Amino acid sequence: MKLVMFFLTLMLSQGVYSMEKETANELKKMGATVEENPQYPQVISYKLKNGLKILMLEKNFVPTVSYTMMFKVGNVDNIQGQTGLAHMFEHMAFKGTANIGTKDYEKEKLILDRIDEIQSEISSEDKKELRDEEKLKKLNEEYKKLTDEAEKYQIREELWKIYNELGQHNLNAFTSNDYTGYVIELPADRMEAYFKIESDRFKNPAMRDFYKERDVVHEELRMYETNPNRISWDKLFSNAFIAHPYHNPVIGFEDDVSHLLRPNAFAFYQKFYVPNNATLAIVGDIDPVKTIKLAEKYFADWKASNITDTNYTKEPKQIEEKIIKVSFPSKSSIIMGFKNPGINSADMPALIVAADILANGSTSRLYKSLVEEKNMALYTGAYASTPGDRYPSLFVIASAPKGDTDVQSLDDEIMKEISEFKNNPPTQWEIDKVINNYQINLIKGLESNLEFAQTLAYNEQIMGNWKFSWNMLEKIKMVRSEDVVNVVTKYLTRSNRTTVYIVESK
Amino acid sequence: MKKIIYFITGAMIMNINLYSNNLNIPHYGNVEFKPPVVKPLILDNGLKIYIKKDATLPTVRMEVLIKTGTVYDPQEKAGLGSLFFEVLRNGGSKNFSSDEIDKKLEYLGAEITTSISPEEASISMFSHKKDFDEVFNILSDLIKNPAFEEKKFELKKQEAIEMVKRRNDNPDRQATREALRIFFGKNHPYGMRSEIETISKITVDDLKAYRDNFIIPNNMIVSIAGDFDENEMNNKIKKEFGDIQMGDVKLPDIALPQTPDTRTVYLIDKPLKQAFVVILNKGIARHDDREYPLTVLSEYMGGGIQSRLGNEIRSKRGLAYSVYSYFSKRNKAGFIMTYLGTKPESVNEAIEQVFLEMEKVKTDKIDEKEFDMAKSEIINSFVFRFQTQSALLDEIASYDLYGYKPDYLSNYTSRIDAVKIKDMVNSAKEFYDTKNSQIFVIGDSKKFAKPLENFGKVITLQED
Repeated sequence: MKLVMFFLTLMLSQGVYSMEKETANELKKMGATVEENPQYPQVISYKLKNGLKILMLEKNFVPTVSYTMMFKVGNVDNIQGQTGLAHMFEHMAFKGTANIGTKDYEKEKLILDRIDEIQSEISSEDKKELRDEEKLKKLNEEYKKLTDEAEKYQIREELWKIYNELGQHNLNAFTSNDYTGYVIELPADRMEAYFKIESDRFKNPAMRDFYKERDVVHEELRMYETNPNRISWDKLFSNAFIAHPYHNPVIGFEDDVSHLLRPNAFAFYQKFYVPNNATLAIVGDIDPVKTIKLAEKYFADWKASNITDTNYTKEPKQIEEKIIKVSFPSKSSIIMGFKNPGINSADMPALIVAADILANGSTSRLYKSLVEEKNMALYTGAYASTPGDRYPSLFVIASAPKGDTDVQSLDDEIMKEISEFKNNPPTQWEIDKVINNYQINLIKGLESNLEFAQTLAYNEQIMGNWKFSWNMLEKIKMVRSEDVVNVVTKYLTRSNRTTVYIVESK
Repeated sequence: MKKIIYFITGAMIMNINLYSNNLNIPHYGNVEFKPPVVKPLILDNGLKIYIKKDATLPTVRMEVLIKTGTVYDPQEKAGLGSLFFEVLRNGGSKNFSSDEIDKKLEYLGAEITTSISPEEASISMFSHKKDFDEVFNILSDLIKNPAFEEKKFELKKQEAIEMVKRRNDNPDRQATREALRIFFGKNHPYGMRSEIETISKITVDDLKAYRDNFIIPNNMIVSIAGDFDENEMNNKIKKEFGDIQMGDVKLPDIALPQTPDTRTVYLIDKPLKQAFVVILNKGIARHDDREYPLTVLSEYMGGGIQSRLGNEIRSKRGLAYSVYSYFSKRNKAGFIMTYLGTKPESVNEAIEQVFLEMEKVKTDKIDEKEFDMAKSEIINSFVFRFQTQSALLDEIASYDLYGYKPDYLSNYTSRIDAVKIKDMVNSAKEFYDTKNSQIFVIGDSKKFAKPLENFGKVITLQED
């Protein structure tokens, strides 16, 4: 069958996407770039002198605006002994600033610093093999006393309160291996409030309630530990990677989280939370000229700094198959991860195509064979690049047995189906299907303003170009059947894989 | 694309900022957004159609809402509704085999999906505008002439059975489901769940009867938005759906649920790292004006980290990552659910805090700022329910399906704005009936700091 051509589908020139010439000229005068190729959405790009990148898209069906502030900092940037710190800082970013959440920051700060000293002592005592329990008790009492004192100066959760009063929607943040993103949607007339709050949030964080929030994160960690799906993913990453920080759980190891200190978070913040490490994407009912002026007004004095290199250990080549069996009070499931060559590798587009042909959708090979014909599996799915894109990661296949099937037989069948690629290379229909879906997903991604803001910010800040997804589409269009066979043969091998079975404990 | 009607009357409503003026955050009034009242087109056979062009993207989204729901399943065949919509979608039609449909849709990157919840179901489609006719053709054949292919019927039935076997894999979901089951009664439609036996009993003939009863035009509402000509689209829908025969819908009668009256604690003892607590109280049915003060109360009490429960249980005490409270309405009755996850050692403390806060809000010691904030949040974020033309029509169609007046949505924020502190306090007095709360806990009881008996009679349940 012939490739369905959608070349014009991204010509988004009707209505909301047509910009007045005058506006376009004014934007250009300000130093902004307006995307003119109709193959792409009409994104406006602007860069502040301190390196902060602003991306904008006007969409004005209702008077709302969606924001994503994306920093290139995540789990991989934590140092040994401080896993979970990137995520901990994300929580801290909601705890107010020198101006938000306090009645008198000068006085409060003195107490907060004193609390840090006490907690540092608690932490080192706690780490000793023979702990002085009496000393710990006293320190904890002192900590409680100081906390109560600090409370007098605090306005609890004021950042949330301000944003709630403004009518926030989806106020949230995400920490992943590669990035940390802060999102919110607000009614369109409140943009200046957004800039005021966010500039204060990232220029003057107070990180109050650090140790209480550490307890909250512990609860988050416990919640994950009751979830079999979460456990199997964490086991996959911690076993597949032995040296690269993708090994570490994003939330951190329990012991590390217990001993994280507020000064650690400040050091982390000072290193990574700089404007030249961030992109702000704004999508919705905006006036781009005004938006740039506000960005200049509130973010221009945010100081840039050189981000020194972190020594991210390169993962050594995997030479043998790893199988991990986890006993858990839930029904069984399986995930397997094959080391991939990294998102920018020439082999990656073919692996993306392979993932869909193999396991995604009810016409995929594994679904047809294992779910429908052999009746062995409940579902199948594949992801070409997880848990991150900044470094080589994993090509993952996930499934779960159905009925009497055991997880081992399901595994064997999956591997058998993979080896079939050589005898039965992808048809042009299979490849075209993937391309069509990739294209339509790019369009669908524009439906939600927030989702699109996240895509823009991610592509720009993490992948280096907001057009990353569109550029990947062009590469995927070049994939041929033999390319898919080649990458499947090269990467989806036993010696290159780590497999996690969840087995029901009785 | 024209904006839909809205006004922002910041200058008119002198609403002073409640929080932080260290930053001199500009003063904004309430967003006065009123979704437009859209008149549906009604065909002779009773089918209602909400239609709007939206050329933002070269796509079309359509939703067929059906008045049915899992609560209408016969008890001995609980699971029928879910299985029906799975097999409707996956079992082929008169003119297209299931394989043809899957291939066609996946090749085009188009979607036809079905879903069912307690009191409604839907069949939805998404496609590129150039593929609309082809996909719509499939959708209408599925609706008019579903084939319920035997093979797919068996497959989906087995999947449903597998899901029953896996229903306790995630304890958080288990906790909310089982708590509601106890609250409404295992045999009441609001409390019942499907079982391997009830699913096994379902036959293809049951699916056919289900279709004859529910999939009829006077029981469905279509909403459609996308890049098309409205007249042309109307004609297409009329052509495909206009000839379906209307009929009598037999919605089974649902008895008023008898929710328990004394405070009781139910425990499933499970060696988990975190314990899950669900507290249930009686709420309201749909079409009850008490929903406005109750909405403000729920937001004030459990609508996020800044709410009372978020403040006290998460922020101040670090007892939970997840804690919230909300209410849900059904046609005959409703519930108020308070949920939290905490380490087993602090289960008691967390429950105590919930009750303490519930009692506090019944007194006059209301934090006025927090009350105003709760109202502002509801009013100012209302607009986000209507972010696309398709979301707007779906929302309107859904309220229509439940029999709300056409101006329900456009009056919503002013009804919220009219709620006074005393209304919220009264609502708390009426609904936070803590003496009769039903408490449901899944967790490792060996580690609980105090006995659960402190809260009432404890009944230990075996998970099944």
